[in-house]
Amino acid sequence: MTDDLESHLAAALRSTAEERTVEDRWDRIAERSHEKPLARGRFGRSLPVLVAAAVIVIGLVVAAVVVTTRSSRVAGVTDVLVTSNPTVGREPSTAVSSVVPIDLATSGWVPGNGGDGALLAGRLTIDAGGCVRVGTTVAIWPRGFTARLDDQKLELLDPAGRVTARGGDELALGGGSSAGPATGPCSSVIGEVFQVQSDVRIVGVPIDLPTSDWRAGDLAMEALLTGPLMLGGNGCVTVGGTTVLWPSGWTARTSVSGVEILDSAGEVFAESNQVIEAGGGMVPLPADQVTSCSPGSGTFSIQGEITVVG
Amino acid sequence: MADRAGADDASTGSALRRLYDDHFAVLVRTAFLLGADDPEDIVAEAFVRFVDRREALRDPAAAGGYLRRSVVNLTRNRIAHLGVARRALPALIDPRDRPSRSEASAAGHDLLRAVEGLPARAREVVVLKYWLQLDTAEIAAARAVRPSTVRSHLFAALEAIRRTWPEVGAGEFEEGQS
Repeated sequence: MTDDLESHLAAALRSTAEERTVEDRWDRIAERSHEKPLARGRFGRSLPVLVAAAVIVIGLVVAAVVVTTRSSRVAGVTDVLVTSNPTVGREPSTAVSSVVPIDLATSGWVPGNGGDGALLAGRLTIDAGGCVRVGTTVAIWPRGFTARLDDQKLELLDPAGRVTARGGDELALGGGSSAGPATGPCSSVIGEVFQVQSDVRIVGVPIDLPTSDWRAGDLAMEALLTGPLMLGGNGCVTVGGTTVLWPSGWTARTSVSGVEILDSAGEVFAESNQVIEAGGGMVPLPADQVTSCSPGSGTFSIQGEITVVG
Repeated sequence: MADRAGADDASTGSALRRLYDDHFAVLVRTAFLLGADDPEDIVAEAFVRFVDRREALRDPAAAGGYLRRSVVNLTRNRIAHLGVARRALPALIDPRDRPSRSEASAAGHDLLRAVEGLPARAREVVVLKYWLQLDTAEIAAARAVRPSTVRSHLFAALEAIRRTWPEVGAGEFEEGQS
């Protein structure tokens, strides 16, 4: 039966493909490919390397200037940079304290309070005036959040003093916009600011995803699981509220929407709130595989085709 | 120096032309079966990008593999760009054709409908295997995945096709072929 299906499949594809007329594109290919060697000139393949090197050098120079400027502008930094020895002055880098607190704009919001449903996504940065931003937007952080420059690197800390994000991290935040101006170093900002009313989620962080050893061709159960992909507050990925053993080699990471699942080839297969349909069945797990995200019972092992249906 | 550069360009041009003659039509039809709405443009783009890898021109087998992989990737990107992945890939067959077809052809149409309904990755494996007749390792190279992934996708694809193409379809096809 399989051989019949395969031979019929080959015949149908061949028939359809050969009916398709093919338009000539040689002139376009020849014209465009002729332009490339001329554009490269005698530098050939070394030109991109030279350009990249020049960009890196310029970037380092600009970064040094920005860091120097920022250090002198951030509130309170000047005092901290000077050591207790007045003869040392401001020159020696060895005398610089590595941790500098940042005046961070905060609100009275705490987890458990209601919040708006808007999304703010962007990189965590600090501008030359010491104003902490997400992308280009000024963020007003939940109560108790603080920030500091640790060895000139921005760190955002939660109320418990744990570093929750660093400068350059891609963040996804829930909350809502409100009229400015903000306070402190962001007081000069005109326009709306974003009130953060959620946990701070860093995009692209790997999530532990339970997987099975089942492979195509193995004996398979034939139950069907359908439901939306979700990332729970406990950090566990579920489909329709059910914990799942994913195919071998599949992984997950945080995303702007919450979570995204990658297949064994590293391609994004699905993301939060997409409806997934998968074949398989409920399986018990050996004690050594039981985790908070894959309980000993009530875990669905995917053992068949898995598709995104909505 | 200028003469040598000119000779290199001429050599590159003739090698590119040979590759075009050998591969262009097959790759256009491959992109078509994969669901591209502009297969000629996709394959032309693959050839232009290939010029950057002109050293591969000296190895025709490697050149074919590079072009194949490039076409698969460009087609996938094109489909994703159109926002039609997993929803409505371009049809392999014109629905208006069906009434005039023989039973064998109608059964073939059912098979193609089943291929159209596959997820993009499963469709790639089916087209590369049953149209280009590539083996598992070649398909894995064309899709930049492991051979085990190819086998997994192929198994799932055939299961899905079998579900939508029952034995009655196979019977009609065989009768029509004889």
